[in-house]
Amino acid sequence: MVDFIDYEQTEPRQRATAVSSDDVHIKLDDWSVVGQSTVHDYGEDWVTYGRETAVHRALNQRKNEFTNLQPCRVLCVTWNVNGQLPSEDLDTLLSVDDRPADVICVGFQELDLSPETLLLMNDSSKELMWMEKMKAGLPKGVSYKLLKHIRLVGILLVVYVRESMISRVSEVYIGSVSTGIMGMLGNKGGVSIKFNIDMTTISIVNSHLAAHQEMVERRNQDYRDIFTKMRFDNDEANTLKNCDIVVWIGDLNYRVSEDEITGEEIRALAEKWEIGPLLRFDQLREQRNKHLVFEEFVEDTINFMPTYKYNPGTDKFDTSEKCRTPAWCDRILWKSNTVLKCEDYRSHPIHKLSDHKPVSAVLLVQTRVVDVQKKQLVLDEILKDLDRIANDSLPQAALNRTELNFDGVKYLEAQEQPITLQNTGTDLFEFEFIPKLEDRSICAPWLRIEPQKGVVDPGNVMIINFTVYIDNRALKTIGPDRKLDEILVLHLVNGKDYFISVSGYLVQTSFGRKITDLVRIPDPIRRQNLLVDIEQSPDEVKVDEESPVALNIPKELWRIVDYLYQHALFEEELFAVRGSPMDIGAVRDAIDTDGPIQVSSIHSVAESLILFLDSFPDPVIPYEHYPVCLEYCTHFANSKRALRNMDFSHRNVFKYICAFLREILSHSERNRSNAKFLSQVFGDVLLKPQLPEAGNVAKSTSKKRSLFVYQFLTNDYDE
Amino acid sequence: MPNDYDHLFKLLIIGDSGVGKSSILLRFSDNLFSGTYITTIGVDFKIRTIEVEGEKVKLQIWDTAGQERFRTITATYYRGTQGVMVVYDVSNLDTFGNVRRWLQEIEQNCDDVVRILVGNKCDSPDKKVSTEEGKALASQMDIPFFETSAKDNLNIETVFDEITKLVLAMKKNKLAQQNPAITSTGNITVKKGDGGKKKGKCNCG
Ligand SMILES: Nc1nc2c(ncn2[C@@H]2O[C@H](COP(=O)(O)OP(=O)(O)O)[C@@H](O)[C@H]2O)c(=O)[nH]1
Ligand SMILES: [Mg+2]
Repeated sequence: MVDFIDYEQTEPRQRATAVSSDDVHIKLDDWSVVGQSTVHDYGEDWVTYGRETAVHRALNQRKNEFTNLQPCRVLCVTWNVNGQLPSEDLDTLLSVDDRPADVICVGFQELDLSPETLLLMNDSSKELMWMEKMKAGLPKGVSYKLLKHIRLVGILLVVYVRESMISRVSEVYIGSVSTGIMGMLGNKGGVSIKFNIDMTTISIVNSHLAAHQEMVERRNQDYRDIFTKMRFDNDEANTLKNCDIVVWIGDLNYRVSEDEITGEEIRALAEKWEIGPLLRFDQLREQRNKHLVFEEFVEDTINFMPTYKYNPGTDKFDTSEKCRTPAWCDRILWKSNTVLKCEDYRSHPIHKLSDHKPVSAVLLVQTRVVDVQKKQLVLDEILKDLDRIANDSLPQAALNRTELNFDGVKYLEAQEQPITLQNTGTDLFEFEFIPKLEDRSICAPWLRIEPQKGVVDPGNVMIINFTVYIDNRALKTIGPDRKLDEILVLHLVNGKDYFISVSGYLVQTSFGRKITDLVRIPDPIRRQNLLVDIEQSPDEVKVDEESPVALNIPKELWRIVDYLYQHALFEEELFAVRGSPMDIGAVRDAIDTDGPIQVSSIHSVAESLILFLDSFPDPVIPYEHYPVCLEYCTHFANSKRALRNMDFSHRNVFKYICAFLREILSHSERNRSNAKFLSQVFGDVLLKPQLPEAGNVAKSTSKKRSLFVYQFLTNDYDE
Repeated sequence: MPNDYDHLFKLLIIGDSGVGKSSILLRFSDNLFSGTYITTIGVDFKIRTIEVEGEKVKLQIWDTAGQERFRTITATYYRGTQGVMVVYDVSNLDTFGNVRRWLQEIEQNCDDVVRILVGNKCDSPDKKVSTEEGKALASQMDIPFFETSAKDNLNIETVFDEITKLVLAMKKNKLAQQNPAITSTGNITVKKGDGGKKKGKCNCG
C-alpha cells in the first residue's frame, strides 16, 4: 500500500524542484528576482544575461549563506459550517494546543447559504458573527492581530498573526478564483491570502471544490483552475507558483470511492473506525498517487474519522434520506521549499453544529531571515568573483622578452630577432603595434616589424620578427652617436599594452657621413676588427674641424671609383644592373677599414658608389645650391658659376664623379654607355631637393637634374 | 548592459618602479600577493566593482610601468583618468623624494583629477619614511594620505574606497555646477567667479 509521502523523503525532492524549476523567487531587500527557467553557473550568466542578473542569481543560489531559518508555528483550520450560525464556542477549535500558534488561518465553507449572498455577494451578517466567535476563541495569553480576511460567497479565509510578530510580516495580498457555474458564481472556488514572513512568501488557500462522488475530475480541474488562475494584487506575475510555501485547506470534497466497495460497506468500516482500509479508497489519495492533482503537495497521515457526513448535533453518520457515504472531504495539504514539519493533523468531532467536522493542522514552517551583514559579505564576494571572471577574460599574454638588443648593426645589413607572443588566456585576442604619443608611425625607419597586427588563438604562439635595417633613409634619422633606441607599444585589443624596447648601435661607417667630415678623416673610419669597434666608444673617430689639412675628396669615394676605373671601364650596363647585398657589405667593410675590395660582381661596386653618394646628409650639390642649379640646368656657363660657389669638397666630389663618368663615356664603343642614361642615374643622386616634391613636380625636376649633370658629361670642364 | 554599474571610473597608479603598484592592484583585484618581483613592462589594467554610498562603481584601474625610460610614453595613459594614486615605498627614501615629480607629472597631463598619496610597504621593519613625513607632504599638497601594505592587506580596500568616494564627489560637484537646479540640498547654487567652489544660495524661487 502506498502510504503518505513522509517528510524526510519529500524534502530533498522539493528542494531539487525549487532549484531547477521556475519556482525560484526571492525578495532580498531591493534585489528582486524574477524566476528564470534554469539556474546556471553565474559566470555564464554574466555573459548571457548581464551582470545584474548574474548578481541576483548568485545571491539566490547562496541565500543559505546569509539567511537564518526561523521556525514559525502555523495553525490551519478548515470547516464546512453548512450555513449554520456560530452556536458553539471556538476555543475548543483554536486553543487546543499547548503552544499557541504564531499564525492562525481559518477557512470556512458554506458560511452563508442564503440566496442573497449567493447572488448579490453582499456583506454577510453571518461572517461578522463568525469573526466575533473566532476572536473570542483565539488562544489566551497571546495577543493576535487580524492580518487579513477574504470571503467569496460562502468561502471565508481569515489569518491572524501574533502581534509580536507583525513587524516581520509584509506584502499581504488577497486573491480569489470562482469555479462555480460559468466560473462566476462563487458557491465553489477558492480564496487566498498571501504574505511574507521575513523573506519567506506564504500563501494560504481555502477552497471549496465540486461536490458528489462521481465528480472527481471536476474537482481536479477546480484545483488546477484555482492554482493557475489565482492572482494577487491584480499582478499577473504574482502567482501561487512564486510562493515558498502554499498551504491548501478546504472542503475538497473528495469521497471514498464506491468503485470497489459499496456505500454500505464504507459506512460499516467507518463505524468500526477502520480508517486504514477505508483510506485506500480515498479519491484524493488515488488521484494524487496518479499525479493528477495536488502534485508537489504533501499531506500528513490521516488518523481521524471521516469528517463527512454527520447528522448535525451528533457524531452519527448521515441517516437522512440521501444517506451520504462517509468521506474525508475536509483536508489540509502543503507545499514548501524549506523544511516544513506537520506536528498534528486532526479533526474536531466535538463540534457538532455542521454536517462536517472541522479539521486542523499544526505546521512548523521555516522562514528565512536575512542577516544584513552576512548578505553584504556574500554580495561583496559575488561582485569580486564576477570581477575576477571579467579580469580573467581580459586578454592574457606572455612575451618571451621585452628587450631586444642589436649590437653592431651594419649599414645595409639586416639583423633580425624574434619575440614570441603567447596567448595564455582562454579567448583569442588581437594584438597590434600602435604609435605612441603623437607619433604617426609605430616605429623608427630603421626598424621593421612583421607582423604588425594579428590574432592569436588560446595557447598559440605568434612569432613577431624585429628587423633592423639601415638604409640611407634610416641613416638620416640616426644621430651622430649612432645609437638605436626605440620603444614600441604592443597593444592587446581590450587589454594591456606592453612596451618593447629595442636598442643597439650602428657600426661606424663612412656611409651617411658628411663629405666635409670625411675629407678631414685621413685614417680608416673603423678598425678592421669589428670587436674593437664594439668595445670602444661609438665616437672613436674624431673629426678635427679646425684641421686645415683636408683631402680633396673622401678617400672612400676614391677607393670605389678607382676600383671601377681599373675593373669596369669596358663593362656593359654599368649602373643599370644591381649588385648583391653581400658584395655591397664587402665594399662597405673594405672602404671603412681600408681593406681590399673583393667582390663577385663589378656591379656591386657600381651600386655601392650610387649608395655612397646617396648617403651624404647634404648631397653632393648641397641643398642650398639646388634651386640655382635647376634654374641653370641648360645654361652651362651659369651652371659652372653655380658650382664655383659651392663648398670646396662638394665641388671636388662633383667634378671627380663627372670626370669619371666622362671616362666611361669615352669607351662607349666598348661599354655601350650613353650620357643620357648616366646623367639620369647620377642626376637624382648628386642633386636632391631638401623637401620631398610632389609627384608631378618631381618628374620635371628630375629631368632638370639630369640635364644639369648632362652638361658636365658632354662638355669638358675644368676651372 | 545598462544596469551593470552606476559609474565607471578610470584610476591610475603611478610611482617609482618597485614601490608596489602592481602588488596593490593585485591585492585589490584578486586578493593575492606575490613576493616575487615582476617588473611591469607596459600598462595593465584590472576592473573591480565596488559599492560606495549605495552606488555601484566600476573601477578600471591602470597600473603603469614606473621606469624612467617609459615616462613619456606612460603620459598617454593619463588621458581620461579621474583619479591618480601616487605610491612610494616607506622603506625607500628615494621613492618618497620622487613623489613631487610624479605629482608634477599629473599636473602636466591631467585636468580634473583626484590625487591621493600612498606610502606602501608599511609592514616593513626597515621604515625610512615616517608616517609624519608622509602626512606632512600630503597636507602640503592638500591631498589625502594613506599608508598601506599590499603584503599584509592593510588599508588597500580603504584607499580605493576613499579615492572612489572623492571621484564620485568630484563628479557630482561637476554635475551640480553644470546643472545648478539639482543639488543635493535642493538649493539653487550659483557658480561664483572664484572657480565655483563655493555655493551661494539664491532666493529667486
Ligand atoms: N614588504 C612588502 N613588500 C611589498 C609590498 N608591496 C610590494 N612589495 C614587494 O615589492 C616588490 C615590487 O612590487 P611591485 O608591485 O612589482 O612594484 P611596482 O614596480 O611598483 O609595480 C615586489 O617584490 C613585491 O613583493 C608590501 O606592501 N610590503
Ligand atoms: Mg609594476
